[in-house]
Formats: sequence, structure tokens, C-alpha cells
Amino acid sequence: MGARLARDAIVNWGSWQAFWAMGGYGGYVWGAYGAVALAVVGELIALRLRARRARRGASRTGARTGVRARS
Amino acid sequence: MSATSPSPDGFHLFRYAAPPEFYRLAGKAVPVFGAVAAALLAVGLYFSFLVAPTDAQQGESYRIIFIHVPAAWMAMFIYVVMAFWAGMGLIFNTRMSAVMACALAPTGALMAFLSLWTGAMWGRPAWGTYWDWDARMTSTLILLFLYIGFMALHSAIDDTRRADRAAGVLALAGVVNVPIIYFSVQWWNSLHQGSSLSMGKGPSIAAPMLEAMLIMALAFWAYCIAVALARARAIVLERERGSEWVRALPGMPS
Repeated sequence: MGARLARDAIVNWGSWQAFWAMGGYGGYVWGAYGAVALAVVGELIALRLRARRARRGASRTGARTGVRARS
Repeated sequence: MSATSPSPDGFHLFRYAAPPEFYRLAGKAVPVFGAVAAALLAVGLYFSFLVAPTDAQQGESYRIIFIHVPAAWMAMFIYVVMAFWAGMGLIFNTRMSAVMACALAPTGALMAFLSLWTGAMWGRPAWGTYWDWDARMTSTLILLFLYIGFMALHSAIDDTRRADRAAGVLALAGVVNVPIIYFSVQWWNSLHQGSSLSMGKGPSIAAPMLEAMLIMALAFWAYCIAVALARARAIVLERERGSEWVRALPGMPS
């Protein structure tokens, strides 16, 4: 699998520099993929924090209707 | 498998409308969809960068299609699902419906933003501009504002039920925007290109490119399901805190 990946990478791109350069469109391509990666990581972190906060607050007794946890 | 929540009206047509049942089932589904998303993402990236060939006209910049199209699809699809749940909540008053709508909104907003951002990154080399007030781009921007409006309206109203209703009406009203986005490239003379894939016609792109795009679309799909279900679980805990079944959950401090 690793060898196959490396072979395909060489067939397609020749070198790492060529891969990162993306035929001169590196800024656009990595700008787009980087934004998606950042968004996914950011969403997962935010979600984990929210779930942790919800679990901590969940066992508290008290009014359960009409009280809204801030999101 | 017995429903542990005695609902006051005894309405059990939608079994998973009971928050404890939903919470339990979604807890099992989240890791499954998460693992599927990760696996599909790995295969999809492999196809996107190592299998799909260079485009004859656009060079390598076209590779943005593999994330742009899935993000745009998800932005539209999530909105329809969100509006569906909002409508169900308005009609049947089921507790989980509004939770699902609220759980989908942030992910939908993120997908709308990403479709605009990746579109700009692609538009600059392909058309010479990051942005144009073109029908498709403008209607996608409106989609982003609808998501943001939904979340803002919901958080502006303190009473959860009233917030659900008000935001639900907004979500339903905004659904008219989705067909406008979808058909905008046919209805208006647009800078945005036509669909790469449309029903009743063969795809207008090469096979390895299409495969990469579809695998990435499935990866986005699985990711959105996993994230929306995980968020819905958190919202259930927020709304049901202090209730018997929540305090009885394993791992809860008593």
C-alpha cells in the first residue's frame, strides 16, 4: 500500500516540490483544502467542548423546561 | 429495548422521538459514521491527488472540485433536511425534531461557507475573479445567511420551545432558496459553469475525476451525519438536564 502510494505519487507528480506546487496553482488548491481541514478540525474541537460541557451540566438537578443551555 | 421515557401524551408513533432512545442509538451510530468518513476521506484524497489526471484546460486548479462540489451539495442537502425536521417539529411538536434542526444548522453553515470559499479559490484561476454577484454565488451566500439567521434567531429567544418555533418558521420559509441555487445555472446566464453531473444526462467529466468526486461526496456525507448526530446528543443533554434518565446515564456524577 505504501509502496503503491509512493509509486503513484511519482508517476503523477515526480517530486514533492511538484506536488506542493500543483502546477502553479498551489496557493489556490491548498488554500481550498486547508480551509476544509481547518473547518473540520475546528468543528470537531467545538463539538467536543460542547459535549463535555453538556455532560457536566446534565447531572445538575433543577428546572428542566424553559431553561436553555447557551450553545 | 423498552422506551424508558413515559411521555405525557403517550405518543409513540415515532419511537426515536423519545430522547433517551435517540441518545442511546445515536451514541452507537456516531463512531460508525465517523470511521466510515475517515476511511472514505483517505480513499477520496488518494483518488483526488494520485489517480485523477491533470485537467487539459484548467491544469491542477480543477482539483478543488473534489471538495467544492461535495461541500455545495451538503450545504443544500442539509438545509432541506433541517427544514424537514423544523417542519416536523412545528406540526407534531416532537421534541427530537427541533433538536435535529438545531444540530444540523452549524454543520450546514460550515458547508455553505466552504462551498463559497473553495469556489473563490477555484474561481480566481478559472474565471479571473474570486467573487461575482452571479445567481448561483449570490443564492449560496443567501443560504449561508439563512443558516446564520436560524442560529441567531434561536439563540436570541430564551424560551426553548418558542425559539424552536420561530427558527423553524424561518427554516421553512428559506427552503425556497434551495431550488433557486440548484437551477440557477439553467435559469440565468451565469458565470458559474453548469452541473458536472445531472440527472438524465451522462456526466460531463472524465471517469477518474467523477470517481474521486463521488467518493469525497460520500465522505462528506458520512462526516456530516456523524457530526450532526454527535451535536444532537449534546443538545439532548442540554435540554434534558436534571431529568431522571439523564442522571441515570452511566458515567454521570450523582
